Amino acid sequence: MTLFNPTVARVLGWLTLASLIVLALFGLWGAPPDDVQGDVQRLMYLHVPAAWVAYLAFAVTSLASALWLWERTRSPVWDRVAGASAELGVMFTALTLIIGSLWGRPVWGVWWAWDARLVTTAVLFFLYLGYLALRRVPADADVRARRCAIAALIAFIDVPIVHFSVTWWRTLHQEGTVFDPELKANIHGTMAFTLWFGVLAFTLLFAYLLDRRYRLECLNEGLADRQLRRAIEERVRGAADRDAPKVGADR
Amino acid sequence: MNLVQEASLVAEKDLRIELRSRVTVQQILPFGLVVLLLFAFALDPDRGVLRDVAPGLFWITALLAALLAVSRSFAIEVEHGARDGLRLSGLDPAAIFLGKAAAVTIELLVLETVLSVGVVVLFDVALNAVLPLVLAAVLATVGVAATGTLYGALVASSGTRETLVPLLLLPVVSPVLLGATRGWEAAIDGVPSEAWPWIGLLAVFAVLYTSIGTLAFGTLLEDA
Amino acid sequence: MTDAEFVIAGWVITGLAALIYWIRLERKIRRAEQLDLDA
Repeated sequence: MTLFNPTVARVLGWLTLASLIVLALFGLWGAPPDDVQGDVQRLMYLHVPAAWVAYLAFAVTSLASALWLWERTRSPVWDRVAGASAELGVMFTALTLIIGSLWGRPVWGVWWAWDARLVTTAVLFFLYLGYLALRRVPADADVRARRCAIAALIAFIDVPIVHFSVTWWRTLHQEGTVFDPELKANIHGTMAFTLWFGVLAFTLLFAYLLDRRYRLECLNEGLADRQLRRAIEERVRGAADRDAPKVGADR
Repeated sequence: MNLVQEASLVAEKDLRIELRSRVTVQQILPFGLVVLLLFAFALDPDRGVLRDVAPGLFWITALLAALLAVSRSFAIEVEHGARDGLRLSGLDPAAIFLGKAAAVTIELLVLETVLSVGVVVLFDVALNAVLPLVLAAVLATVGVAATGTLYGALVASSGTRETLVPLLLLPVVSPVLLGATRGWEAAIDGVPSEAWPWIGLLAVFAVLYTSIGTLAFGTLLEDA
Repeated sequence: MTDAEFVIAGWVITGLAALIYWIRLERKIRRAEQLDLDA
């Protein structure tokens, strides 16, 4: 009924909370402001971890889909994981784009730039939306699982192609300096630590939410099954009552 | 019958239905031309803007038309309850995929030919370097048709088919739009030799998604 | 907007998004667990 052992999950939850608090302390106060960008650069401690989780979730969905499709490892667990991970993925992708926009505005002067990574992340966002829309189409559990798994793999194969083609496209059209705030040459010690800590904190958050979302998926499935069974039982009982010979009625 | 023969059978069937019903020619093609016209309304026809962005406008129009063509490709199966017949026919699902994708490709290529005439006439574009143009167009169309046929089957059994395929298909084929547009730009006004890398990308995409479709179609048909 | 406002906005949005998602998730789980017990 849960993805991880319940005790592990509880520990994970507390660890997540603690690490997020620590991240906030370092990100907003402990780490020094950037030489060039100033305090705005503090958004990097959210943007990069969020982007990492966005792609991690995508990888999890794709791997889970593949495991479901392969007969030897097929299990409803993988289908649930794929769906749960996708929901988290779309959230973190949206977050990546929003924070990227908030970071870009003061730094570049624009809310959006056609930078290769942002564009690829935008495409990823829409791939997620399509997958989630597909998951919401009512269908037999097996049918839906197979359909979504294939869709996930189609998208998974597409992302490197998108990344490569968009990167090439933007390098050909680069006018002026490359806007690459997060790959600054001089990231000081505390800044680097905060960045990596952010990646860790967000990964813990993802793992914890995945476990909870998985639990919800299990509960909902069980609920749907029971409702269906109950409806069938009632239908069968109703029919049996109707067909039963009535004693004494027609004599 | 081997794979190629079976696929040709399916493609022939689809194309013959098209010849009889003329949906592509009488509905999708005019739609494409209307879209080209609307671009002139939306953008400035007097300052050479249209000529500069003509390849992009052309390929967006072609993509939108492809959505209709793919939708149509599956609608003809549903119309006469033919979907079960297709499954029970004993034809190799891979052949069904290749046949349907081929039919859509041919229909779209016909469409694109007329649309390019439209682009030359309406947007004042000169189509130099014909070989890269045609090669890019063929590969791009194969890629879109294969992916579209794959997604068409994916959502075929659900009632929300119409609005779901565009959302699923367009992000996935964005590299095709990129490659086709850049390839055409290079061929038309830039250096034609710059088109070849993009044509390479289109070729990879076409081969990749045709293969995926061939492999996955069987499982998808079972569920439909 | 000043730089600080962008930073605050980003961190607040992130925090709220995570918090709201988590709260709604836990509430849905509670509700489903209740129905599970009632069954």
